[in-house]
Amino acid sequence: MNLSIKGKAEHTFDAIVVGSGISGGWAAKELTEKGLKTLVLERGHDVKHIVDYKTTNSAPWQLNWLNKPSREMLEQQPKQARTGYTVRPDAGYLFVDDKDHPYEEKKRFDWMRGYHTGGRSLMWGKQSYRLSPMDMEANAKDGIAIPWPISYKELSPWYSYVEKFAGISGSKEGLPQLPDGEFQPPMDLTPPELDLKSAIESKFKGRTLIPGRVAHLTQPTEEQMKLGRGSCLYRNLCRRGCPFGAYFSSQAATLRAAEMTGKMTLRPHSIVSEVIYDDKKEKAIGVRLIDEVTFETIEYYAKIIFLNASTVASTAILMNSKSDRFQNGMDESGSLGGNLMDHHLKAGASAVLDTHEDKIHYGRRPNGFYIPRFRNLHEKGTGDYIRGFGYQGGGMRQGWSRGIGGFGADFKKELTSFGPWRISAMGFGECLPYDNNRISLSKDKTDKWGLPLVIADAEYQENERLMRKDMTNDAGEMLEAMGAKDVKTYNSECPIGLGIHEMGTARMGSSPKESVLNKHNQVWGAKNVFCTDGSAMTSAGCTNPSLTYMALTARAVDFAVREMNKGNL
Amino acid sequence: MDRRELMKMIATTVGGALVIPESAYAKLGEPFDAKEMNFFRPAQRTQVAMIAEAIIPKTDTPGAIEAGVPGWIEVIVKDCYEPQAQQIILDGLSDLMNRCQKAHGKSIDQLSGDEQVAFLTKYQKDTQAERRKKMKDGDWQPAIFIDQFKDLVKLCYCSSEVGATQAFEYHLVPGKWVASMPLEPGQKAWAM
Repeated sequence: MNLSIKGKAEHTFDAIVVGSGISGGWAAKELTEKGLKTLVLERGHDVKHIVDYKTTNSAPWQLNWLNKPSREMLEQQPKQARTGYTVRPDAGYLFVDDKDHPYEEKKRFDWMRGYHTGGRSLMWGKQSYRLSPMDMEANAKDGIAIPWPISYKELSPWYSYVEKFAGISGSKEGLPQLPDGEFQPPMDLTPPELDLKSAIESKFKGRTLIPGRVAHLTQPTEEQMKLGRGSCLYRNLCRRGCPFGAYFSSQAATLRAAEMTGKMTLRPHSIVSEVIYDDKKEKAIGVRLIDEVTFETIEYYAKIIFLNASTVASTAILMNSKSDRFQNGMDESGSLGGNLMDHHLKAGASAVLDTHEDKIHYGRRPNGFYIPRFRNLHEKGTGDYIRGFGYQGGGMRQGWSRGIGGFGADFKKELTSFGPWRISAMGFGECLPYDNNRISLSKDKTDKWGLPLVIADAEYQENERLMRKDMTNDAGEMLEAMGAKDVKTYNSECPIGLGIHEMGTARMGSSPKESVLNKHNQVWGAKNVFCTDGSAMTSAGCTNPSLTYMALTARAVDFAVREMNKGNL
Repeated sequence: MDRRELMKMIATTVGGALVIPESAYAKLGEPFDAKEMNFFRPAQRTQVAMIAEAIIPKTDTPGAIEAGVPGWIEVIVKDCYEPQAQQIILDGLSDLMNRCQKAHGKSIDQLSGDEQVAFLTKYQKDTQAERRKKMKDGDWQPAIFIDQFKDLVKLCYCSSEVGATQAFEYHLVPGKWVASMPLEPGQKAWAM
């Protein structure tokens, strides 16, 4: 394309951020607050804070089909519907239309995503945990894949930094496998959850149960209130967007902060196809995008480029960024696309209780309890596997959706009464990085914008399968230990992707021979290109990863701007 | 929603002793149009209402009809169910009504409350046994009509405005989280 000098100036920024989700929002905030004129490119449509949360105040009877998915919705979103809970009238529109956004699966890969401002920061689970020192040392210790190029100690201040801004509710526990952070008050545990806590603490040395750590405000800071954010009001309708900005989303927090600097330009409908690399300068000069609506190809230029399109999507952009130097995409290690990880789940247990019948809870807590990892720490796993898993769960009184026998007035009476307490715990297990769990780009199939389709070829392997036995049995054993009744364990099929924690595919490392990114999240050989979303993960840990993306992003922006100011970028 | 259309439709629906008030169809969400309420034939629409009301009758709180359950059922079966699942509902309605007629010589809405419960309980037991027999013969069977229909009635009732706010206690914005408090007599369960 030919641009006049003026046109080129209009297309030139100090920094470009590709993606507006959890990590992209952070890049936008940090870059603009450091004074950089920043262009944020969002591939999907714009969703404005509060005003575009169209179902946020809908009562159940105001939702189409009482919030059941219609046949038509399921036909449009067959892959997004694989979770069983995402494609519904209340928030299904925040997940992609699979017909417009196809991908290929050599093995089943559940790729759940939303293409709109804020990305999955609007629909995420909000569970927020740090990786531990032992998580970050595990690859080196086990001789698996490659070591992380940074230590927990280097990341820890950045965790604190992002926690203070994002607002994480949680309790300080002093656990080595789950480091404490900067917390707002935790959400109280219910009576059966407290019973489970004391049962497992007394019967299983080294195991414990804590309130989930969750990105909800429970005691907002002045900084958070200035952004217009308030305390959680316990609706648990988070996925529809929060009118109080009580949970962390790009809209409520980072993009709002970026907007307030006056330095951000947000461009929706901007599908970035590639990073433009200048072989002579040995760095990138900008990005090329396709307008989602007009199909125009447009270029934007900047000194710093942050890729935050999400795991898989950022990798696809790197793969598609070809130049004389990078003839097969921006990687010389062969690791780009490899080591796709997720957290495997759908194994655990649930039970009912005949206690605490005289107690109820009020409000809808968007959270539950967390049982931090214990296997292969102070307790060896019972199978021949490495790493471990944590549990998320809850103990709540059952509502009307429980099974109740009978008909007529008696049935109705029971239906409209509180059911017994039910307690459940589901494991979230670490997935090892495997070189052969890969994504690649199709050579012959493209989407409607002419971009090559992503091909996923990944599956859980032996280590994960072995771990699931403990994930299943330990949950049952702990519920038995508290005296729960009718304990049922399960170990259901769990394809990769279903945890919606895709990680890896452009990992960080210490050498360009074995990694795509260096310890500052810079692409090897293109030092002004940074990737700080889940793609960068060298290993997965067993905890929910978004907080780590936030910390990596803030850390990388700090480095990038210092380097730029030194004239190194 | 076009009120005149709605009234006309309901007028043609009413049959037998059961009067279905306007409210049975009036609580539907915005995008639904009375003119599109064409999935059930008038006789079937009446059957849906009769069976739903037998499952969740009016007591000290409104029953299924008053809560608008029949209208919701029609919309959901029409738009959300696959053709095979729709057929189970259609076949089930007439099967249940036929067996009721055979056993009691009258339609379900004309039975007393206790008789309705006894009939539905027996109907459920019989059709479950029939299903088990077919499964035993290697013929996979979906869940029986009455179980599916009961779940649907339950969902529609508990999600309806009348059900959620009158038979349950409904809070769109609870405002706080209380992990434990005493259950006081007469406290209705939470609607959500």
